[in-house]
Amino acid sequence: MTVLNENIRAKTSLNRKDTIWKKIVKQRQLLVLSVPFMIFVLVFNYLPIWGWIMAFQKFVPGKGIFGSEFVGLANFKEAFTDSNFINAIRNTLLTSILKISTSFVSAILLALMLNEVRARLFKRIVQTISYLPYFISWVVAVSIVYMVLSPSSGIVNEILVALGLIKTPIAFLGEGKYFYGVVALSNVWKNVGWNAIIYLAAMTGIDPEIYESAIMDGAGRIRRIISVTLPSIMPTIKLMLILNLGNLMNVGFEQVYLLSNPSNIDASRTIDVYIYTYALRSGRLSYGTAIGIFNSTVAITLINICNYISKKIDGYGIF
Amino acid sequence: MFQAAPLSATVPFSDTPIGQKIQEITGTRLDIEYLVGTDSMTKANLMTASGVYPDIVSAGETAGVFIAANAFIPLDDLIDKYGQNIKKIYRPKELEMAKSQHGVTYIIATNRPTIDNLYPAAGYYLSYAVLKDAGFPVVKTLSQYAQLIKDYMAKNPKFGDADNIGFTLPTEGYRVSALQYGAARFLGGYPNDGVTAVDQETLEAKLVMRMSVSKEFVRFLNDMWHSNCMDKETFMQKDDQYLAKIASGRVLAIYDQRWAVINGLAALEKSGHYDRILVAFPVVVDGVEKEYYRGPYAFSVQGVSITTACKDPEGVMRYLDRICAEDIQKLVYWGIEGVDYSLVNGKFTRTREQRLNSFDEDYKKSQGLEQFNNLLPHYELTDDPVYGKFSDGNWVYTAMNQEYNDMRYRDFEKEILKNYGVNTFCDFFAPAYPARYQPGWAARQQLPQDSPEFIASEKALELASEYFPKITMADPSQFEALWDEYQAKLNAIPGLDEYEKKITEIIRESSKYY
Repeated sequence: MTVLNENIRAKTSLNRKDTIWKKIVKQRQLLVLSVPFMIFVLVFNYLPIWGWIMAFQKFVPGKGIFGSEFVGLANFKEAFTDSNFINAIRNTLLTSILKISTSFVSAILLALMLNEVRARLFKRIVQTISYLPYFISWVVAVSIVYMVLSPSSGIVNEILVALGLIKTPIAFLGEGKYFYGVVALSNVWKNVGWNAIIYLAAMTGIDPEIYESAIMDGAGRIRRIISVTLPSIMPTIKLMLILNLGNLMNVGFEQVYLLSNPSNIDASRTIDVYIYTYALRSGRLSYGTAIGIFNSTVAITLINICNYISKKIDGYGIF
Repeated sequence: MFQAAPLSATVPFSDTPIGQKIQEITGTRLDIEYLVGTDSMTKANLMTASGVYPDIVSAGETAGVFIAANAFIPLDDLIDKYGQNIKKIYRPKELEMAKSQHGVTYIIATNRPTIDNLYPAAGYYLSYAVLKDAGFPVVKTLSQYAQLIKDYMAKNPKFGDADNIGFTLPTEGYRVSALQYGAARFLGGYPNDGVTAVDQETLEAKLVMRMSVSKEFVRFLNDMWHSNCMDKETFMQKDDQYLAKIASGRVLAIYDQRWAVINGLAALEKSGHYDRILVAFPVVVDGVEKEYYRGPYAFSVQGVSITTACKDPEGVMRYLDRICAEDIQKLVYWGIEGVDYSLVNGKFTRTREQRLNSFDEDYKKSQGLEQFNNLLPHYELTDDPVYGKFSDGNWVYTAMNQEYNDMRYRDFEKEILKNYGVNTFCDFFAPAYPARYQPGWAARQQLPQDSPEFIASEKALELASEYFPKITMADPSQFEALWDEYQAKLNAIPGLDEYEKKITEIIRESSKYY
């Protein structure tokens, strides 16, 4: 065994150049296909990093990057001494964790349930209905949320009052304590169908023979879900989790900003909203860039930590 | 050209007969990009960040952003050379002040004072139903105002199937200013000076949020909230929802500026709920003698500028000056001769039908009547004969006579006036005082946005919109504690004293131009 391995290794090192070249030739169509996307990433994700210089300046648009005055870490200092910014970090993390966990669990549950449905027509209908909201924009979705949750005419309050669960209608969007929940649940409603697709796809790839042998061994439905389906889609779940955690600092500007209002601002002020109000709207590009750098640093660190842990536990990471 | 105001505020030039006539005369087609949404600040900052400008920008309150980015060119020489008409319709002091702010002139003002003797510009509004029920009282104090709302609500909780709304306020986007400081300053007997209230004797500016009158205002809100008079959706409604509520006739009382609710009121009238029409009163807190709701009509320097991207600044200036000529201004204000007015013995007259047309917002929009007066430089609407009349002796302002008022008011409005025994809705208010200084809101726009003072004021505003809802909804026993917490946080913001000082300086400096 060892001898064999060593032989292979010796061969590969000898022919390394050849194999890479061969690989390239072999996959040339794929490579050509990926070129536009590489250019896209380069232009929109890497080139703008040049603008990070602004974070260390007092940037004035008319003067440009070369003409503006350098101020060192003043922008970062200002951010970390502002209690609103600290509040924004807290809200971002809370909202994000809640959003990721709910959307994760709901999508997997929906996928598992759909997978068990045998009636094709019913399955199709449920799938279509559940992923339709994904295609409407947050502007429209938020107006629907506002209408549904309205304390004077919203259906949610009417049902709760009719059932006797509450005495007076609750202004769900008028108090900070309900805000995280509203964001998480409206996100589930809008995205659950879409998010479930990827898990459904993973499930179709499971070899039916495994199920058959599980049935032979006397496994019931629940048993099969726990012992066959879930372990089989575990790599997909992990991949999605790591990708999602990289977005921990991005809670989605549109949704949160549109749902925010003066009475829930201490819960709805996320980092994105903070950047918008204090940096973009008041033209302080330097300040906004500084916060953006902080954001990216945290995100990169998080993704690396997750990947590391995942690799340590069962040797599967995304890079 | 870019106009930092949404399209709903005006209509496209080429779509109207009057706009087309102006295009014919000037031989110039003006392509206008309007603001989408309400956030002119963000748009201005994005424009300066990209550095791509149209020839002309009407920056409104965002002028400071463009000037800081060196986007505008000085206009002094151009006005000297080509601005014959401009010099005729602007007072020398106005041109001087425009120059004084930056050492050179960047802006030709399009935001000019206007007199309106029919409706007050702002006030605490009460529904006709409430007034009638209480026997048409003249409302003066905040406690009286609150009592009227409560009494009516106790007797009539419903309007049709829907609940009556005792009191509400606009709170979306920049309209939250009514909550932050707009409603409170008038209660204390101060004119509209933006975030600050200016002492009319000493011209000293103070932040409204730190004045005791703000506390009185939020105490009123707290009282309204806990007596179930206040709309529970006040702090989370979008502006269109707010206007829809007004249009439905359910709203008994609001504080607002008239221009901001005019669409809601018009819809209310169209639906025929004349008994729910809203009437404004100059409400103050106890002990305040003099109110400034109608304020001084002060000029300020907001208007059009030529950008560095313009290839032919001279041509643009000739165009702007041509716009200020009498023949075009007659089109702008009076319309097309023979269609919108006729010339009788050298006097501009309108038949009854033409008058009624000129009151109809839909007609005005399709004809282009009075639609371009805020877009480009224009005459001031004043009763000063030197600046308010054309050279043939006709008034620029079509509303300069009593006959206009009589026809302007609708029957249900006349009935309200008759019950009160007054001639106009302005008669409840003190007359407009003469302007003595540049208004505080205009002074604020002169501060650079990245200055510590400006940032401090922004933070104070954010704190206000966070705390006002909290204090309003708080249990009355916690009112004092929460207010103290709010004030402590407010005073902990560094730079607010300096902000007040800066604004005071600018205002005092400006007083020599009035």
